[in-house]
Amino acid sequence: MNSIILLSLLTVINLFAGFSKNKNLSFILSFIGIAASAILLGILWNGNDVTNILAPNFINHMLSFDNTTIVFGVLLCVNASLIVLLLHSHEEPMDIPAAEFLTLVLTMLVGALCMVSYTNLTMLFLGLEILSISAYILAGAKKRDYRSNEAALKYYLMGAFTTGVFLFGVALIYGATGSFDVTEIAKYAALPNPQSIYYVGIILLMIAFAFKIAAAPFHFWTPDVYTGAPTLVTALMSTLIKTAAIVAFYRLFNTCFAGATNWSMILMIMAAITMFIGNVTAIVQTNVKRMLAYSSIAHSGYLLFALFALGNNSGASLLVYMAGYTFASILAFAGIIVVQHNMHSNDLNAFNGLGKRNPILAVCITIAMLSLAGIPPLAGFFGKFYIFTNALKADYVAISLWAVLMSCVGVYYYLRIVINMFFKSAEPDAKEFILPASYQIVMGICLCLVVLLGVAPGILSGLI
Amino acid sequence: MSTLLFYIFSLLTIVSAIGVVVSKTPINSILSLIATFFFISCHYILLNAQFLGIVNMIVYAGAIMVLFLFTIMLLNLNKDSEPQHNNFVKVSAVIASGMLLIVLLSAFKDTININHNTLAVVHTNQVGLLQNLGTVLFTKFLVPFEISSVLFIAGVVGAVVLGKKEIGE
Amino acid sequence: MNTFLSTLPAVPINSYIALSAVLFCIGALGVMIRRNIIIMLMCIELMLNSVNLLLTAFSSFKNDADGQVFVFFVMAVAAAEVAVGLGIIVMIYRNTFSIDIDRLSELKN
Repeated sequence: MNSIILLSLLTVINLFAGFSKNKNLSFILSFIGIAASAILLGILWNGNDVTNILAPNFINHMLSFDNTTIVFGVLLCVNASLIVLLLHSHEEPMDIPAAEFLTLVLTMLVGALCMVSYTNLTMLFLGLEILSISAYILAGAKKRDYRSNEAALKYYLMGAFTTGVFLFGVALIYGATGSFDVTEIAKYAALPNPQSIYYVGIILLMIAFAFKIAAAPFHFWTPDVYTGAPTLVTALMSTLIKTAAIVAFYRLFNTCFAGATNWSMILMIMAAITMFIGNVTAIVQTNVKRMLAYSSIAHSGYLLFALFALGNNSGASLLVYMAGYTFASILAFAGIIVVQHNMHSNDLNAFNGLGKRNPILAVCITIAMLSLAGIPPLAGFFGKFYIFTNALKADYVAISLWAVLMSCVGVYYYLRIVINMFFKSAEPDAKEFILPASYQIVMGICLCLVVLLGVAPGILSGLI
Repeated sequence: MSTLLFYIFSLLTIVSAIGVVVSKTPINSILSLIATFFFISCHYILLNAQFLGIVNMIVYAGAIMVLFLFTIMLLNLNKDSEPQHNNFVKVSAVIASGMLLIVLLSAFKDTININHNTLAVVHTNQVGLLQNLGTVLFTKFLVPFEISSVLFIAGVVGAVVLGKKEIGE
Repeated sequence: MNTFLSTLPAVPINSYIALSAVLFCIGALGVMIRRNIIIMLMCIELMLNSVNLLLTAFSSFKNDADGQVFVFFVMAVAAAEVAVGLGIIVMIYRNTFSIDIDRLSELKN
């Protein structure tokens, strides 16, 4: 709770920091604030809640910080701080001032933290909305760019529509159970013969979450929005928002609906379609951002595995998967921003000959792509490995085979970039790109983490 | 008589809601939407949620709709130049939402048969009164109440940065 | 007001659920068939209102204030969302002088 309070205060302070002559002030404030909130989350480990400003009763009905929450909360904080670092070098110019941009990143983080720690659907709803509203604005951060405008509008319309569906689901669940509290809902779910409005409510919630994590058949907005939004915001959307949404979804199903198994079939079909559409459509894309958008859809499919094959290890496998995916994605998007800045294009051909010009950058992008594809011994491989092992333990053999097949399809389009970088020659007058210092730091951190988590995934999976 | 009032208000609500969807110009849509909000407020009063009924009028009809009207007036958008979807899209949209309605209604058919003791609760309960709502809002729901301030910061920042004219524009 | 209402027999909750479902579907239909962004936003507001009605009805029938407090949060969120949405519309209008959704199809491949 303290971390949420700190970040909320920081949003206001940050806006005032925007008036300062020192342009770095708001960056420093945000970075320190996010780091401090990660520490504040960390000290709650194993329930050491020593400092509650408000009376604990009021909080405990709304938010709870168990170890799963804390680990994911810290992951979200790390994710946000990497994005803040990337913003600092102005490699990708935005039309809105940096202080406002950072404020919106902070509000987004507050929303995400609420979503991973809620115990009451009210907090889930507010967290989801804080996250989404900040994301709508950030998607339009390049105000004069027509494509960014369009992305903001599409995202907004889809998001607002989803809010309606989500709320209708919440209302029906309230009608059936008489409470918004997840423990009360769980008590109701354990009763025999729940009312049919309860099931309709669950289905509507599932549709809303499928929209948010871009799972098929509710993924159609994703390619346009991811391609049109500024690349840095795309990185935020495909990592931070996805983590928050999938963890919220996981918490909801793990605590409330674990008793009812009817929905796991629906989620399984959804996962199968999502993996197919994401991987197969990504093959024909020539725009790298669009390709990563489809790849992000495909990853939602793998993530759904953790939900329908719910077991004791689901949280741990979700964590390993999400950590690997987050760092590899940030690495890939950072590379794309550098290429886009220098070549003014997101096309696959813009990557030609990068291996000769900027070997280090090319190696970074290659590692990111290999990790996303799930090649051992990188972090992405162990994420997939844990998730599929869990599914196999729960006897989901056919869908696991399908997922492995789809991962193999995925290898093809991830390797296309690698081939372009190393085996195609660039235009003769091309010069070396200069990596700004903050990019070097972020890419270095991500690279280390992707390799480290690939070599020793146990350090994360042992936590929860 | 309450049943009669319910059906009258429901009919009016649905008619004005359809008005929002079919009217040609945005201004007509807004007026229909305000009418819809008014009838929904009447429903709130029938449900003995008097405070919500009033807040609904103040917030939705008074604030949100005025925001819509301002935007339309400022940008001079009230033209009837909206190109229409082709009929295929329209028919499929109607079929889709019709099916959604059928699914929802059929799911609700076997809902809760509340006996008359519970029915009497609706008119005698005090939950919708200001004092009671305030107590719940500031005790049990204190944390969400405070967190919603972050939502408003995001909203304010968004409205300002997106709506502001840049230098040189 | 209380004495007046307490003399009346009430409507069963199913009628309220049905009314909300109808309003919700009208709103969803509007989002699908209209192309004027402002009207689409209004249809989304209609959907949120149907949810509010449903929550209030449940809250009233269950004699539990939580549902009505939730409606406050829905209203707060709706207000913030509309402010941002209209901001986005103003931004787009500055660039394109149009708010027709189909002119915005630059991104379609």
